[in-house]
Amino acid sequence: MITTIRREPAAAILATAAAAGLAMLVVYPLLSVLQEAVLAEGGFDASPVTRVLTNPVTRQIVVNTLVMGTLSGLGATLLGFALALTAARVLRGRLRTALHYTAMLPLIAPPFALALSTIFLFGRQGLVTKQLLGLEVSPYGLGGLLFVQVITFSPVAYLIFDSLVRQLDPALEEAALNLGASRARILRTVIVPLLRPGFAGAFLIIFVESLADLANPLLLGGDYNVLASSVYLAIIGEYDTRKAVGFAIVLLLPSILAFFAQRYWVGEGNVVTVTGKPSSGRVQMFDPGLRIPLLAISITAAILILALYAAVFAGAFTKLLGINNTLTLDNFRFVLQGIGTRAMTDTTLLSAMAAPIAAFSGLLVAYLVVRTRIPGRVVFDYVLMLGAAAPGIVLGLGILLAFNHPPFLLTGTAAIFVIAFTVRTAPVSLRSCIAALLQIDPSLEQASANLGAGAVTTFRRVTLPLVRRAVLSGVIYSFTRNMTTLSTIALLVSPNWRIMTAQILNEIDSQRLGSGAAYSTILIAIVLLAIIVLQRLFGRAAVEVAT
Amino acid sequence: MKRIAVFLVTILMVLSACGGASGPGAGAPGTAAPGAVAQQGCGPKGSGALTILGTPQEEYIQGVTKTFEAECGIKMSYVRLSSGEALAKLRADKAAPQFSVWWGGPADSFIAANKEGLLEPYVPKGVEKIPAQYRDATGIWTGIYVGALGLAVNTKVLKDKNLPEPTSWADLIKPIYKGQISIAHPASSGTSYTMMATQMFLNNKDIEKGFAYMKQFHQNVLQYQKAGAAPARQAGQGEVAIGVVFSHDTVAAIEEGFKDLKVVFPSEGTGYEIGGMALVKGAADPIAAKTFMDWAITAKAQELAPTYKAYQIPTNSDAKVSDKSVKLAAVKTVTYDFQWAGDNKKVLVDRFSNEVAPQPR
Repeated sequence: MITTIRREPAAAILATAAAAGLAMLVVYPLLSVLQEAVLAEGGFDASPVTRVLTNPVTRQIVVNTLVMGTLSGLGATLLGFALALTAARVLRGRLRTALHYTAMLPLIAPPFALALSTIFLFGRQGLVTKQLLGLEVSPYGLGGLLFVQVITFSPVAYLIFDSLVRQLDPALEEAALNLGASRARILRTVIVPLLRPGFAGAFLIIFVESLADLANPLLLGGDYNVLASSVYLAIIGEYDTRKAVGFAIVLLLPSILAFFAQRYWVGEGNVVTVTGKPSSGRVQMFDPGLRIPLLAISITAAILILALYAAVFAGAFTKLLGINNTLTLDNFRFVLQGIGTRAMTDTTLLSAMAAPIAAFSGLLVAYLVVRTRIPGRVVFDYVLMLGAAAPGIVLGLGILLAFNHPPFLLTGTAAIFVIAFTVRTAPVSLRSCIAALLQIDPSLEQASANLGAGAVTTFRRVTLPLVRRAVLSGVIYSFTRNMTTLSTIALLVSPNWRIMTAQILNEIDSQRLGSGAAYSTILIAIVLLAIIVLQRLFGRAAVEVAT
Repeated sequence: MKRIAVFLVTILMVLSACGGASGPGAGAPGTAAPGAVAQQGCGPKGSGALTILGTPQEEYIQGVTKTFEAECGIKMSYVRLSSGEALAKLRADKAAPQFSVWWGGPADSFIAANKEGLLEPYVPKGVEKIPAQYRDATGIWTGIYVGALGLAVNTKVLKDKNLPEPTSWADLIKPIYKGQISIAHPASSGTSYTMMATQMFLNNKDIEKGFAYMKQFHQNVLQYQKAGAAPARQAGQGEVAIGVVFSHDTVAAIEEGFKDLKVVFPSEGTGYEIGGMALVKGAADPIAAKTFMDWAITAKAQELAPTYKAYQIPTNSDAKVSDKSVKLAAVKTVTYDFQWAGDNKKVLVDRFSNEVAPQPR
């Protein structure tokens, strides 16, 4: 350590600052949850956690959560795989582009939006199920939850498979074809095995996302209770922190395990994609035997996605969709004359404040990990990643418990939201910055140092310009994610700052579906506008990396 | 590098623009300077800013907030939370209360909150206009409206499914209505707690018998909502056939356009609420809070309610009653013991959360 300080004074300062920041903003909140769970006035007492695991009722909640995560992970992974294969091996030109963007559309859906339109379209009085087909379908319970989650999370799998399929060397398939293998056999014995890390990675990421999902179980859960909503209700309904942390700890463990298992499995290889080796083969399009089922799945999914979005807009612009379809602006009037306007500016402001902070925090930690020789630097990486691995509601609970009393009384301030947003989104910037730094030859920086530049100057004039794109993508990711997250901030709301997703939750609570749809429409518009503006400012590439 | 600089500058510009327009913190003084002179008909302004917890439906709170701001020159902001959530919030904020007044929601919750030492007595000026049975003698809470429980029945759904119209509490536990009833969770909602307490009163406060009913009732519930009035809209959408809510919420839902709804009062006798209002202990701005409370019990303030589709019965005996409000004398009610309901709230709700709500259906 001493030698490090002597050799790299700037790095040592940076490491100290990062350590303090991580300890304060990541470790301390999560430890607060743990402390509340295992310490009572009398000393060690883990009864909140053991109660969740031993009581048959709460154990059912745990089982429900894991079942939902597993099925959702499987479903969304397969759907994303089918969509990616269709885009790469069935469609060409404009059709491919259209499918590409449609498949990614659910990424910008605010919480509740797709669940809302599922009720509009496929609910008990749904436009499609009841009024068109005369079916008696209930979207409440596991079935409805899976339907919405599979569509919501499929873009995650789609993006992973999309990049993997692009990397496949067509020569391999060509070779198999020349040896007489059918396309189906090639899919089974060449493509799928090559994509194996993609399956593992997509499944695990979606498993974690599904576990953390708060909005859909609140609206569509029926009697199917899950851990995330149990944490939320224990605080909001009773302010019973011991009860909440019991659920939170049980939710935290599988999430963290799955998250780090995914990283172990997929590693950085998923991010570093530049091999520079030109391929000789021609991309082989599938024959009808594969094309038709893939097209059927993809077209159905695309129509569903578009229909769900259309239903959100329809719900926003009609009086009571399905009951009274008169066009109206009443929903928007209610939203904008009420808290909506404040919520729009507050949420945009806080998200924009946190985005660059998150991106640069990620960069600084990435720099520490990749470029310095600080002992134990990998720990920084793992600790910051906890911000993404912990379910949003658990992170929010930790921040609530950590900062609701002196000396760190931040309840109701802007700072508490900025902290929550930063901790939640900095890990993505960290990953892309690490990938970017790994691709830069250290000799560039060494050259700068040899010419007499200090570490700070080298970082500013050599490193930073080279990782610019990764940082920008971190900013964009953080901003969009901040705008649309509910679970992280659901427990932090206060009268001083209005958050749009929390307002949507409020409308949904009162079953005011029209205003909920109007809020969602506004939120979608803001996010799209931001993406377009940033695209104009910084070019397309950064945006594509981010999404 | 240059682009990053441009980006940061843009953000700064956005920040300053937003900061100027909306401003962080509703607590920021608005138009009124501290200690400003009282507006005509209103008490002193205190700091000129007031934050309240509101429990009735949002339009109503929004409307009252706007009118009060305009009439008394005090900048007011609100958060809408259901009764149980509001109580939890006050409990969570006990060390540093963010709210000065808790406005609306059944009085039971105010009694429960007082038991936890969360409220400060205040008898609003002009309280003699409010009949004694609608307020606490010591000023812990003051009634601002009265409402009666009723069933929000969707006649179209019943017809579609060939189900008879329910007319009693006893009907609601018949298996034919499985998955067709919506109600809020009594932990979060005062409406739902009023329903549960009503079952206790129908059984002469025999808690075991009351819970036996709740367990059977639970079998027919589709999903527990958070806000008490939500089931009226859910029934209106046709997602369920029956919502258990306050009748004024159903009337409001019919006004909003849910034409298939009608109100049914259970034949055994229904429960009712007195919507309370109280000063929060340690309120950030007790002066503005008291000014608001004085204002809120006036006939003029209470007559605002129907404008915002709030058809509760006003408590001020001078206030005009909307013809859309329920005629309490014409409805058979239970003898509702508010003190008992308030004192036992925590016990009953905990038991419901642990024994009834998690039961498989």
